Amino acid sequence: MSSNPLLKGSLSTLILQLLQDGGRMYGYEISQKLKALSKGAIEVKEGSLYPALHKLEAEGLLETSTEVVDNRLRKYYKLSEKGLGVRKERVSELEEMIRVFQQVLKLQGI
Amino acid sequence: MNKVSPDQIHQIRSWLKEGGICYKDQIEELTDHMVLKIEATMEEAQLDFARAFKLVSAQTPLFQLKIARGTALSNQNIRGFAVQAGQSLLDWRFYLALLLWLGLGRVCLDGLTENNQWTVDAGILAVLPALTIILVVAFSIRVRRSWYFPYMNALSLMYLSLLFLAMGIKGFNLSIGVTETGLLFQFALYGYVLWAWLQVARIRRKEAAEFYHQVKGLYA
Repeated sequence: MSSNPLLKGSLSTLILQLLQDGGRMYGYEISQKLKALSKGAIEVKEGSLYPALHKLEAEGLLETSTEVVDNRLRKYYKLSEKGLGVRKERVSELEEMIRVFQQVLKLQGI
Repeated sequence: MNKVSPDQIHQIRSWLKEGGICYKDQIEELTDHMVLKIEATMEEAQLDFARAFKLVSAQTPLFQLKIARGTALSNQNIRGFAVQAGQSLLDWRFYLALLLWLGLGRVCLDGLTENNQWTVDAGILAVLPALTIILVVAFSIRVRRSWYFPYMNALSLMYLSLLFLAMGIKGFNLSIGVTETGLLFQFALYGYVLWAWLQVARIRRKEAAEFYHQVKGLYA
């Protein structure tokens, strides 16, 4: 599922939504949460997850903080003020896109 | 639940570093991720650390490559370039390569300053290494994987400095002849570049074979 182009295009929106619901989370937690919520259908590989997180951070949509856990540093991500607004827009766009897809698929009798 | 020990955490950190992850915060983040993944694998598959580590690390050639590419896409190329160049200053192999590179610089210097005018030889001496560097740097930013590339990055900076230096000296009408030693240095440098590329091809093949072997061994 992680190589699905639809998921690739929507991953950042899913991350923003997860962080809205879950507050602050770390990378592994996000990947596990996505897997659990989708009942195993969405399995995001590290190679897709971290570049997406770093890109969102660079865009100023996420804020980070670190904590020492069991002798190692853990980096937490949470939505920034800007991220809160952008999340709403992107989720609406995604919902609209899904609605359009469903409409087209229904018209085609698929 | 099985826990990864501090020594093993240190091992994971070093391995990520050797694998080409060059930012400290990224190494820390990925170490945490790998530890959690290894602990989960140990728990779910009832494996000891060594076998869980093997299983998780079997996925790493692609993992690191993708992280590196993703990072390059996140507009951090210049920073990564500088960090890698800095790291390479701590290794003796860099100084060996630098020696070769200084030889080339000397050739360029000679070619550029001979008779105070640009000659075909001078042009070739200056342009060919520059093209090599552009290709190597472009490739290293794309792949950023092996220790050969950081050295080449650092050397590229050195080369450009030398080229500018040569141009500066030319302005002062200095005249130095092309030396045979300089040409030998240049051949040695091209040998080094060719060797580095062959090593990368060899490492890729080895990684693919190891990956297959580990996965096959664990599920046999």
